[in-house]
Amino acid sequence: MKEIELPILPISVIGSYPKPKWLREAIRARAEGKIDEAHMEEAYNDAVSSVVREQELLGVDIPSDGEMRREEMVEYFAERIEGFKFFGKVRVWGNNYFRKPGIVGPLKWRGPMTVEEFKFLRSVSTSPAVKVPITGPYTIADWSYIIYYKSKEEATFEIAKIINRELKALEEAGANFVQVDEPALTTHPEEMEWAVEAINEAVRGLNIKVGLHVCYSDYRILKPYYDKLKVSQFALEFANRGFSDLEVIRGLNVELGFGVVDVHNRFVESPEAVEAAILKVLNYVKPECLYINPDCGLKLLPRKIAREKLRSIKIGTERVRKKLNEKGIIKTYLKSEVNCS
Amino acid sequence: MKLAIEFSGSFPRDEAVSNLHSLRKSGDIDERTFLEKIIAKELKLVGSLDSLGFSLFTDGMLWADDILNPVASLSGAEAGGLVRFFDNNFFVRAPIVKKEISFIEGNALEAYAKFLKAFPEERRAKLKAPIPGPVTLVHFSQNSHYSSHAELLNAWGKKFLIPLVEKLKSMGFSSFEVHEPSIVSKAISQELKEEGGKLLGEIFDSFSGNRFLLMTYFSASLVDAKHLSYAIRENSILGIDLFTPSGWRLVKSLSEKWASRIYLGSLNSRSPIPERSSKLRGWVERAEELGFSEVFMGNNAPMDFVPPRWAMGKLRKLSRSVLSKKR
Ligand SMILES: [Zn+2]
Repeated sequence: MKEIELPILPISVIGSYPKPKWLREAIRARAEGKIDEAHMEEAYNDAVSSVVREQELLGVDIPSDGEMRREEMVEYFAERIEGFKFFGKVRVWGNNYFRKPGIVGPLKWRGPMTVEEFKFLRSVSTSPAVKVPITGPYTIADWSYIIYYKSKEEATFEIAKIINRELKALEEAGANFVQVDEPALTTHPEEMEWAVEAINEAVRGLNIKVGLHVCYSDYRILKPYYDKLKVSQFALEFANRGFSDLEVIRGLNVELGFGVVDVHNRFVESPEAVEAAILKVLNYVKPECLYINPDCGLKLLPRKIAREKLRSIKIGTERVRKKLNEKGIIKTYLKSEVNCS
Repeated sequence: MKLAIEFSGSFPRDEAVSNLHSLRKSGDIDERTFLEKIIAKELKLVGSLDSLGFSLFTDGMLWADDILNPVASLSGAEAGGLVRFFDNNFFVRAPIVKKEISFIEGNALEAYAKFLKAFPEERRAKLKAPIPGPVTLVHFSQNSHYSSHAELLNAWGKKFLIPLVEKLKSMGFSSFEVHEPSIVSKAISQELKEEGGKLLGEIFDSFSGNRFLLMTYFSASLVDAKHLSYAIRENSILGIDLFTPSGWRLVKSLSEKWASRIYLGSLNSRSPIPERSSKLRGWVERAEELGFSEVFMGNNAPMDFVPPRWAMGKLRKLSRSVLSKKR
């Protein structure tokens, strides 16, 4: 992997970003047949250009495409992998839903699902590194009805093979940082052993940076698997839990993507709060092994609030960077293999 | 043996119900209009259940986000952050307990009251009021007021649930459905589950003329038989989820612990695929062999995990499969 230089404490996002209001209107118009495929594609491209630029202006060193083309993290892949069928909308909380898929036939990779997304992102971003999030095999299986396969385990490993092909296609297209999203990972502790194996299967044979994002989970269940998971970064959510369980990252021998702002709360954290959180986590992680990000995808926030939260991240991080710079710690590199013990 | 079918907990929101919630949230309709329209939907739902032969049902809880949702307005505990509801991709808001728990006449009572009033008086006996159980309340609470789980449990039971049931009873409900998945959860200590079982027994004893269905779900193990046996009363029925590996073993064990009535969680609310008729009928026979004098069959858990069309399909299938066999 080509060495890419980054400022110390690189700022990234988890993946999703609030969709511009006009994009949501375009999506609705497309569903009603009022605009054609080409128009929609142009709208998606314009939306990506604008949110990538926005992230960069706000100080994000490693932007994503904001998942502008994705409605929901499992839906997007279930729509594109052969063997899935949608059963209808199921509530996740309050009045929020997702279209729940079921696996009703043998699963097959139909071809790249995220490569075009990546290529467009790469073409509009001026940052040396960009992030492509991809939903992990365990979460896709866990959020689906398993009908065709005998067990969730069998289905998960089939999905892992497909995700592996997808990640290899991304690598071939030039992606240098992918992030496997597994919010469901710790929900059935008794399944962790094989779930971790399935994730490793999904990332096998890659020579690019692979992160793993796990959120709203019991990290004590994840902890025993830090070394077993073949990834170079864990992006974890800590603002939501008031930075209270930092002890749980002791023993993490790879990088930490540290969540410093809560994405389910419209209250905007101050730069001072971000700074304090980073200083606190530096008692547990070396600066070279620390990335800064929001807790999770920003898509549920009003765009204005998401912007303000990123601004706080930038100012808070800059303050800590200044302190580190005084000690001669100035930059880091995007690495596919790390040693943070 | 008496056999009946029963609908428990929440029914998934369809597009129209979901729209009503959006309109209420955005302030485009007021609370009164919201409730009126929701109750019209609920009446339609229970009308279908009634005609399918269900002997008991809830209002489908179309007005509430989840079983813990009414708690905030009725107890003074704040609605906190989102927490996962067991091993589902479904989240509830944790009650934040910062002060003494008490029962207050909050606006959630409106929903119960209006629904009850909208239902023809002669058929009101078929309605159940769903409420959360004390162990489940402790499990999901973010408590900074009480110094122990035992104290918190006691407070939820005696300061909140008993007055709540009293109130609902005075409004006209005679049947209650206590959602208590945490009493069979591995995440909860044996001591707390045992205390919880005893407390439930006490609560049931305070309302001897009323029917209580104690709904447990998502887990079952033989060790839980002991805690659950404390809640076996003249006026209570235990609900067991048959889709957990030890479901039937627990049912058998309860039959040996003198439970004469049982609720079989026979529709898997986490799968859209309807259960086979032969399977459902086989379960009725199995319960009869175990010597139960009354068997109630219904959904194993709230039905929010499948889309409405599939949920109704399952309920229809249950009616078709077991009612024709009724003797
Ligand atoms: Zn997340």
